[in-house]
Amino acid sequence: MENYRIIEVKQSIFDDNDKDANLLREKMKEEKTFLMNLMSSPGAGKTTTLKGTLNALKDDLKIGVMEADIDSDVDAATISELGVKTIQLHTGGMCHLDADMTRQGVTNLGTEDLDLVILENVGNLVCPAEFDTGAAMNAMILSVPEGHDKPLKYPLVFQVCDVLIINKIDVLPYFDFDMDKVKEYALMRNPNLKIFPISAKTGEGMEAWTSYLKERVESYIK
Amino acid sequence: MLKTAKSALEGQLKPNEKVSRLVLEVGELTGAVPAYLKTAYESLKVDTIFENCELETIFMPGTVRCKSCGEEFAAREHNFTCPGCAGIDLSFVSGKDLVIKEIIVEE
Repeated sequence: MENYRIIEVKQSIFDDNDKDANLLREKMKEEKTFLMNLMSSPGAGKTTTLKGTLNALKDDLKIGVMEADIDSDVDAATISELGVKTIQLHTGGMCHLDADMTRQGVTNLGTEDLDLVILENVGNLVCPAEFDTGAAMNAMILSVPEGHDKPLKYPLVFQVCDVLIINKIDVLPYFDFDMDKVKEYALMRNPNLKIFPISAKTGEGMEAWTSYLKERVESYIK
Repeated sequence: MLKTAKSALEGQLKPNEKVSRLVLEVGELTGAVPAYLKTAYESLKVDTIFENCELETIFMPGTVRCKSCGEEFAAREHNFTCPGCAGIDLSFVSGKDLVIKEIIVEE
């Protein structure tokens, strides 16, 4: 190393993605389309919760769905039966969606006439939390069988989310899941988090969640 | 990462120079594991200008500041709770990012 020099860079590797995300957020705001990013572990009930949410809101809002979960069993046919526009995004095995892939999805879906677009992110609590997709709202689903200690183990996802849906409350009697503890831990990570305990299967608690979402969308697109 | 590094080098690299070391700051709170980053880097650098460039990682501790009393403390060690006033509304000071600090080039 006789002749060497140091080039100072001081640049975050997330910078490019953050820029793309902010551009997408501005574009969606102008178009008056509310983009929601939905994250969870595999098996937490994203698909069932999504169906319940679509059923509750499809008459009042024009909704589109972008499926990115490699594990998802919601196909275009099932969703279009509900009268909702949907596309499948191909992440090529990647563990998360970034802002550029989300933008391509938004373009392919055609969102100009939509009020709400739900992005079903890849089932994973680590990588999706690190990449801003450009969504106006981040929501995550934690299910009862996963345990109430998850906010301690995956802090970042709880920090970036606006909403925490606690799913499968119908099986609470069979698990050592402490609802007070999970709320305490989650609010420790993020004091502004809105928490909705639901059972997507029985419909319990769905009304509170879907009315909240509806209000958020309506005030955004006004 | 390589995309960011490459764009940072644009117009900087002289024709007789080669990149020899990439220095990356790895924040404690990103959850990124330096050993895995290195493994991934070794496969990604093939056939790029970084082919003969090594990756050096620097650990950046996760530090937060309490919005109530202003105390700065190690986030993980104190479980994201202020040791001074037990406040939980915090802002990040460091350790939440992956930053390319510098790139060393040789003739």
